[in-house]
Order: sequence, then C-alpha cells, then structure tokens
Amino acid sequence: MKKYVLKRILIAVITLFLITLILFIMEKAMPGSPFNDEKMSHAQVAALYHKYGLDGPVPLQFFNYLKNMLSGDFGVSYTVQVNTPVTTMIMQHFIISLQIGLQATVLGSVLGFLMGILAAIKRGTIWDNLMTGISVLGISLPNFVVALIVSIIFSYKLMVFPGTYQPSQPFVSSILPTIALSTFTMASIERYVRNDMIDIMNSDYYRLADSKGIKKFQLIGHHVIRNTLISVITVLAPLMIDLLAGSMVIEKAFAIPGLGTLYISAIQANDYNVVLGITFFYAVLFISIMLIVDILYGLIDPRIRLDEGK
Amino acid sequence: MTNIENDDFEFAHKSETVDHYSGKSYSYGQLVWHRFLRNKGAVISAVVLIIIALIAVLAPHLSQYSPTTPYPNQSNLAPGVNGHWFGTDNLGRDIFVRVAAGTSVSLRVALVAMAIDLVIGTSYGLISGYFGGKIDLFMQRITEILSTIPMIIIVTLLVLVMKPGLVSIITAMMIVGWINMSRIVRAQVLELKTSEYVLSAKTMGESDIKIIFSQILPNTLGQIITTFMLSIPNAIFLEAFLAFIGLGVPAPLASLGTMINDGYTQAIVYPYMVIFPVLFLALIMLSFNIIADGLRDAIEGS
Amino acid sequence: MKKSALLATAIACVGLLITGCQKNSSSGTKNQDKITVVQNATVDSLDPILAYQNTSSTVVANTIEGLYTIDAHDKPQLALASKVKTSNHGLTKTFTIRKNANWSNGDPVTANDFVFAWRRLSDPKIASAFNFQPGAAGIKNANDIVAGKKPVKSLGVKAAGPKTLVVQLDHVVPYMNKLLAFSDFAPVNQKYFQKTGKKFAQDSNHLIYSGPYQIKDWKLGDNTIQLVKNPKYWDAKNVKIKNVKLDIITDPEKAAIAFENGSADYVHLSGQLVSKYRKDKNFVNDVGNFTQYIMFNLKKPGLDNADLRKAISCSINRKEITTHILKDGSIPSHSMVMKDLVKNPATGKDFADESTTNLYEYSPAQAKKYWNKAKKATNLRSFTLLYDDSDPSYANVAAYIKAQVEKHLPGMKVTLQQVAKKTRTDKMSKATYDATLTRWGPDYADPTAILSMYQSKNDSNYGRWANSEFDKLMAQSDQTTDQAKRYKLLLKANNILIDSASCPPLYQIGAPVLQRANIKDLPMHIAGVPFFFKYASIK
Repeated sequence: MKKYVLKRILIAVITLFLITLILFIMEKAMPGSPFNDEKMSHAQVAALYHKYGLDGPVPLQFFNYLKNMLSGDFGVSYTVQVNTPVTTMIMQHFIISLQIGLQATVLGSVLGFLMGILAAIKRGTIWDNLMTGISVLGISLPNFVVALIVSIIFSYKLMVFPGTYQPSQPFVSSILPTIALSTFTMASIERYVRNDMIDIMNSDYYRLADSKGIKKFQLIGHHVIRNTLISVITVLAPLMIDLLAGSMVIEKAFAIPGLGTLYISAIQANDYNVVLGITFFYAVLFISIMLIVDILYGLIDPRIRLDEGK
Repeated sequence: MTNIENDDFEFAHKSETVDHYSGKSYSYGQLVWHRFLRNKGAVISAVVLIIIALIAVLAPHLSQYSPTTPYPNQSNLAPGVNGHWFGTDNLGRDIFVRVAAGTSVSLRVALVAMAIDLVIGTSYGLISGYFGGKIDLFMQRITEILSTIPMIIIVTLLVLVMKPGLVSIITAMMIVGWINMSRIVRAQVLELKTSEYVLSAKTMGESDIKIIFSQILPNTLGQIITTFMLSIPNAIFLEAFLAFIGLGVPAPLASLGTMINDGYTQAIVYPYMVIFPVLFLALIMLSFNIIADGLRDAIEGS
Repeated sequence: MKKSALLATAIACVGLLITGCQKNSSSGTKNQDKITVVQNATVDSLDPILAYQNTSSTVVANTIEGLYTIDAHDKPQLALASKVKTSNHGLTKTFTIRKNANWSNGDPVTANDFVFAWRRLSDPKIASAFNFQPGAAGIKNANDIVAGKKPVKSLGVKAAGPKTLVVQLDHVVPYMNKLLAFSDFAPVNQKYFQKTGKKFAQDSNHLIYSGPYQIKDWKLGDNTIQLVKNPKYWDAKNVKIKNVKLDIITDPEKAAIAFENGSADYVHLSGQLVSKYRKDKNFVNDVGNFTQYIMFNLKKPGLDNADLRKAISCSINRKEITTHILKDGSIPSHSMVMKDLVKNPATGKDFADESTTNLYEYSPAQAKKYWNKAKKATNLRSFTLLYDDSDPSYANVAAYIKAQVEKHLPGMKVTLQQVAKKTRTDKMSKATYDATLTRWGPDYADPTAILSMYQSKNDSNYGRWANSEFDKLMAQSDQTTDQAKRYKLLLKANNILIDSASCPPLYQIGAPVLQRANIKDLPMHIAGVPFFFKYASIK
C-alpha cells in the first residue's frame, strides 16, 4: 500500500513537471503577449517585458519560474488583477467555486442515489421509466442549457433567485448554479446505482438472503447499498473532474467570480502566470482526488489489490 | 513415432478455422441485431437520428435559403414569417437552414474525431495488451500521465495555441479521446489473451498480426462499438463547450454549439435563436445515448 | 422521488423566504440614497496609474479625486484645487490645493502628493498604459521622460509649498483641464504608498481616499464594489447619493434581467436587447465613444491602391448595418472623429458633421466605377478580413461586409478570419494582416485623440498610411494657440484622412442604457472617466 502510494506520488511529480514545461512552451508560442493592446507603444510593451523578466531566454525564464514555484511563489498577474500574487488569486476565487462544486456534488449524488434505488426497486414500473427518462435527459442536456432554462424560469419569470452571483447573498445566489451543475452528476449516479442494484439483486447471495426471510428493507439497507456505494465512489471521482469543466460554463452563465471565470479571462488576456498557476492547481487537485479515491476504494473493498500493475 | 502423419493435422486447417469462426460471428451479429430491434426506444432514436442526419445533409441544398448569405432587411423574423420555419437570425439568415448546416458541422466534428480515436485507441490498446511486458508497462505509463491532466485543460490550451478552427478542435479532441478507448480494448485483450482459442492459435504458430485481427479484434468489437457510440455525444458536448467559452468554430462556419452561444445572450429577446439549436443538440445527444444503451444491452445479452 | 421532491420544495421555500418577494420596481429606485450601477468590465487595478479598464478608472476617479472633475454638463470643474493662476503666456499653472482637502486617514492632501503621483505616471520603468498623457497635456519634458531621454525628476511639476502645485508646460493644450480630470492624474500619498508597499490598492484596507466616496469591504477580484460617502471629503455636503454599488456583469442579458427584477438601477444594453427595451420609459439612447472602421494594411500590395479601397468602402451600406443588423442605436459614421466629442469653437457645430460627408458612402455605381479602375492597376482578387470575438456583433458585420463586397465587386473574394482580441492587436502591430475590423475610442475630448495615430511616425499607425500634408497639418495644429485656426487645421487633416479611404469609418457605436427615470445628472462621458457620481441625484 505504502509502496503503491509512493509510486503514484512519483508519477504525479513527473506529470506536474511535464505539464508545467509543456504549458510554459505553449504560452510562449501563443499569439500575442499579455501586454499588447492597440494603445500600447512598443517602448511600453518592452518596458513591461523587462519589468516582469519576460525578456530573457525562455530556458532561463523557465528555470526561474520553477525555482520560485518550489518556494511557493507562482508570480503575479500581469493584466487581470495587476500585480496580485497568483496564489492569492487562486485561493480567493477557488473558495467560491468549491462551495458551488461541493453543493452540486452532494445534491447530485444524493438525488441520483435515491433515484437509482427507487428505479431499481420499482423496476419495470412507471417510476423506473420516469427516473431513467430524467437521467437520460440529464446526460443529454449540456449544463449551460440547464443553466439557461433555470435562470429564465426562476430569475427572469418568477424572480425568486438572482440570475447573477451576489457576494452579499452567497447561498441564495448559489442555488441556481448548484442545480444546473448537479444535473449531470445526478443523472450519471442514477444510472450506475440502478444498474448496480439490479445486478446485486439478481445475485445469488441476495436471493439466498431473501429466501432466508431477511426483511427486504433491511437487506437493501445493509447489503445492497453498501455494495453500491463502491461503484458510486468510483464514478464520483471522474464526475468531480467534470464539474471542473462544468464550473467554467456555469460560472460564465451566472457571472460567478470563481476559478473557472478567472481561468477563462486569464486565457483570453494571455495572463501567463495565472494560466500556469491555475492549470497547475487543477492538475494537483485532479491527481489528489484520483489518488484518494483509489485508496478509499481499497479500504471499502479489501479484495481489490491496488498495486495491480500488470 | 512414425504413425503421426501430416494429414492428421488437416482437420485444424487455417481456412477451416476462419470459416468456422466467421460463421459464428455472423450469427452472433444477427442475435445482437434482433435484440437491438426489440428495444423500442433505441429503434426510435435511430430513426430520429437518421432523420436529423438527412435534414443536416439535404436541407442546405434543397432550401431556397442559404445558411451564409445575409439579408439584413429580413433580420430577426419570428418562426413562420415569410416561409422561415424557425425564423431568421440577426443577419436575416434562415435559422432552419443554419441549424441543419450547424448540425452537419457538429456531427462531422464528432464523427471525424471519434473515428480517429477509434483507430488510435484500438491499436494502442491491442498492442499494449497483446504484447504485454515492457511494452505494456511503458505504454501504460504514458496513458497514466496523460490521463492525470484534466482533459478540458488540454483541449482549451490546444485550441488556443492552434487558433480556433475545425482542424484544431478535431485535433484537440483526438489527442484526449483515445485514452478511454485504449483502456477498454486493453482490458478486453488481457482477458482474451489467456482464452483457450487464442492460446491454441499461438501454439499452432499463427503470426501475432493474424491472431490480433482474426481472433482478438472481432471479439472485442462489441465493446468497441459501444464505447464509440457513447463517445460521440461526449465529442458533440465538448464542441459545444468550446463554443460556449468562445473557442468554437469561427464564423462564417456555424456549429450547433456556436449557434447556441450566439443565441444565449439574446434568449429573452429572440428565444427561437437558441431554442432550435438546443432542441437539435439535445435530440442528437439523447438519440446517441439511447442507441448506445440499447447496443450495450443487446451485446451483453441482458 | 417523494424525498427529492420534498427537498426541492424545501430549497425553493428557503430561497423564497430569504429573497423575499421582489416586485418589478419600474421607474423609481426603491431607495433614496442608494443606486446600483452595472458595469461590464472587471476591475484590473485601483492603483491610479495601472487602472486600465473603464470600471477601474470610474472607481479611482470617484474615490481619489484629482485637480478636476467633469460635471453633468461635460464641463471641467476645479476639485481638490481651489484656484488656479496662469502665467508666463499660459505656460505656467499654479494650483492652490484646498485647505480642507484631506485624505481619509487624516493626512492633508499636499502638492507633493501630485508630484509623486505624476512622476510615477511618467516613469518609463513602470510603463503605465497612460504614460503618454502628461505629454498630451503639454507638461514639460513629459515626452522625453517617457522616451527615456530625461530623468523622471525633470518632469515640469513641483511643490512650491505644502498646498501650492506649480505645473510647467511645453505648449498650451486647450483641453488640458479635461485631461487632468482623468483617473491617472489622481494624487498618491507617498508616505502611505511606501508604507503599504506591494499591498497598495489590492483591497479596501490598503487604500486611502481624497474623493467623494470610499470603498467598503472589497478586494481585487471581487465582482461587486461598494462605494459609500466619504465623510472627510471637502465637499461632502454636496454629495447626494450616499451609496453607489457597482456590479460587474459581463452578459448584457443578465444585466437587463437584473434591472427588471430591481437589483440594478443603471445597466448598459447591447445588441438585440435594445429592440426589446426601446419603448421602455427607462430607456436612454446616447451615442457611444467608439468608431468602428475597417483598417487596411497599406503595406500589402494591392491594398495600397486607393481605388480598390474606395470600391470596397462604396459597397458597404452603413445604414443597413445600423438599422437591420446592429439595431442598438449605432449610427452610420462619416468621420474618423466621432459625434458629440468636439464642437467648433466658433459656431458650436459638431466636428463630425462638419467633416467631409458622404465620401465613399454606399453606392453600387461608384463601387463599380472604382473597381473597374482598380482592376487595371492591381491584380489583387482576394483579401482576408480580420476581426475579433470580443463582441458578438463583429462576426455579423464581417459576414455582411463579405457578402456586400463579393456582390458589388465581381471577382473579389473575401475570407473571414476570427481571432482573439490579443491576436488581432498582435497582427496589427506586426502588420501581418490584410484588412481588419477595428475600433478606436478617444482618451480625451479633442480631435487629436483620434487623428494623431495616423501620423506617419506614430506607433499606433497600424495601417502604415503616410501622408506628408497630413503630418504637416498635425504638427501645425500642435503649435497653434488660436482655437478657431487649430480647429480648421484639424478638420482639414481629418478630411485628408477620409479622402485616402485607408480606414473607411463604418458606424459609431450606440450607448443605449436602462436608467431609472428618477436618477438625474448621471451622463456617461464618452472620453475619459465615464461616471462622476458626485453630481448625480435621485429625484
């Protein structure tokens, strides 16, 4: 186990280094610079390049960047939030994204889980069809469409929730984005839970337990849900990463000043340090979630051997 | 030791093995086909998809309107006015024809990207799984590293560096899309590799390539097709996502994604500019998902 | 299902309770001393010399006042200075700073605060995007300092006493007062600046104010910024609106929804939303500050042919663009200098109306004539029209231009290329484009704010157009103190530029807004700082 985790961390470090290197080169290849603008003269742009140390050879710049990075300094923003340290920016905006992301994950997985169980227990009935219908729809509708629908209904027509993010009411303004963001999670979880439950309910041990006269409710609560949880956790990890992409779209749709919005505006403004910093942050987040899930998976179901490399 | 003659081996002649095999595959295919036809939802979806594809291909040619030529004094007509079924957009272009043209762009992007993925992913998985050992270890490290980078980041950055355009969007999707396919194929191959008929073919001295193509590939086909069908809606979604964050196919080309993005900011003024492309997008995604589900059920024989 | 339905209802109920019942507040704001203004650009910095976006300069100008403000009638008014004395043929200006002008931390505003701030502004090492402005205002040595030829200390500004600021000029600039009202000329308290160091202006705890408002609970990156009345402001008794909230909403439709449900009192409309609200009683339509035009790269063989450019210009129907495609209050434009920017000092007529009108306007016959002439001189039969994605209307306008040019100039093919804005400006400065859809807004209310970029040696002359007579007229206008004569010189220069068809103007953008009808005296200024909330009131 320990060896496995160490190996994974080593791979993660190599990956992160590669990401940083590739991104650094890509940024230099991008058209334009952080500073070019119709109204900036060549002298001004050159002075800014000098000021931020962008006028040296690229390998040296990369070396300096790595050196600073190891001491926790990811540089400052050039244009989006001029001279703010990138780490400050990421923390400031991530908190908002995290709140909505977590809410959506919880809402989506709880709803999905309940719907899946309902569909499996009432298999073949109208309930099953209804749940399956909702989940197929949830998977098929891009979340920005869901965002549009809920914001037209609840913000424009009924005027019950704000259509844009209000920092003074962080919870109220997160309700519509949370709903829009959770539909895909909900739909995916519903499908997995339903299929899993049906598999288990068809299994021999379930039939055995059933024939032994154990109460159905108890049976489902004890055996089935526990087994289903395993598959939920596995799908939840990639889903949380999907939320990352979703958050970019949802944050744009609801004018939420989260990390996704910041990432898009930094990309559009060629704000190198911010793009690098956020990408690095996303990658660390992604890798850690995957690792934690794999370990959790091992804990829940000891039969699964983690160091199965071949 | 002399009583074993050459003709003793005639029975397991190569041609006969293949014959026997292909016959079995045919009936299996038939079985899947019949199971699929029994799934009403999947059949309806397939019909819907065919109709949409026909509209996408034919409408721009048959209609009296062009998807690109502007008629400013006909701009923003409501659906039904002057023979424009879905109304017209800000430049007076017919939305029905534009949705049809946009559908064909979206479908093309998804199909081309996924077809390339199919080839890369399948061969990667086959090679990695079949040869195993050091080759497998090395190839698995590559996919492991690639898969730890959030896909959305790769796509966004690639499109950015290569400038938004059909080619760059397809390339970006291609780079990230094959990993999933290769994993599924590899897992199948690992399972099949130890199966008796592959082992026996090996001991008979069949070449690796022959074994891969005549024994392993046909048996993984079901999984490959299901994965392929499921990844198409993903690709369509990815294209729409890129369009929504402003990195879609550049005008005058329009995909469903860019049309939705254009209509999004005027949804309360001209709702029909966004409703129709959304409807088409949703129908396509829905159909592919249901068909993929139906296919999987049919193949797994549930 | 029951559980989920219950949960959804529960969430909806909680939401209802918290938000309360919002009524569609129509023409009046609910509150007598509070307005919410929607801005579409984010705040990039509140350091006066780094604040580049419109929103940023609005906030700076309303919290850190300088020597002048612009009132509701677009006239400059003395602000932190109580009087100004002009001597030495107008080349020396002595400002007396108000006795009761204090920073919000209690420090008095001194002449040194201005000297320190303006030197920072001119410092070529800091490279403020506005470092051309001291030069544009005529301040002595400013241009040489920016060019690195003279030390920063030689800037023509000094403190002749704690409250006496002496400004020396190279030449008299008639619009200097308006320029000095811009946010980059705001004073900076040197002691405070040095004490806060890197944290300066990063959040509301690291800012002090000399203006009518101060900022409450804010840090860079927030999408809302709350201005509250500054009790220590010298003119606090005349500040009528106590709270101004700026909400940053980039999606115009979301902004309109915010106005409708009462959470905003002033929003910019754009694009198709205008047709929806045109008849609304809160609708106000003004012309905006940008002229949209086509810029040709004259270094490209073929496009240096004036007849070809005229043919292209004549094939585009500006009226059709503004009335059928944009529909947002934009107006066809015939002059590089936009409407409502400059008036003739003698007659009061608008510069834009007095410049050569209807030259190379839409005319298929003229287009054909020029095209036939051009075909003999050049074999260019295709070009690429570049535009960026910063506004959704550009793609529509570009598509229209392509269709028109291909229709009226048979044999000519236009390829459209859409790029990010940074890429477009990069291509423009490297001259790697054929023609581009671009726009230019004035930094100050004078024709030179537009025309000076077309001088052959100007860094921003992206079309590489060169005309010696134009250069001569511009140089002459720089030396002329007689306003009427200067106006005529600039008008003539403008006409030469239009006559070259090197950058045919298309339209001046509209600035339609939804504004609660009881908000008075809050005009949007088309050059410089957009809003001064000090003069606004709620009736």
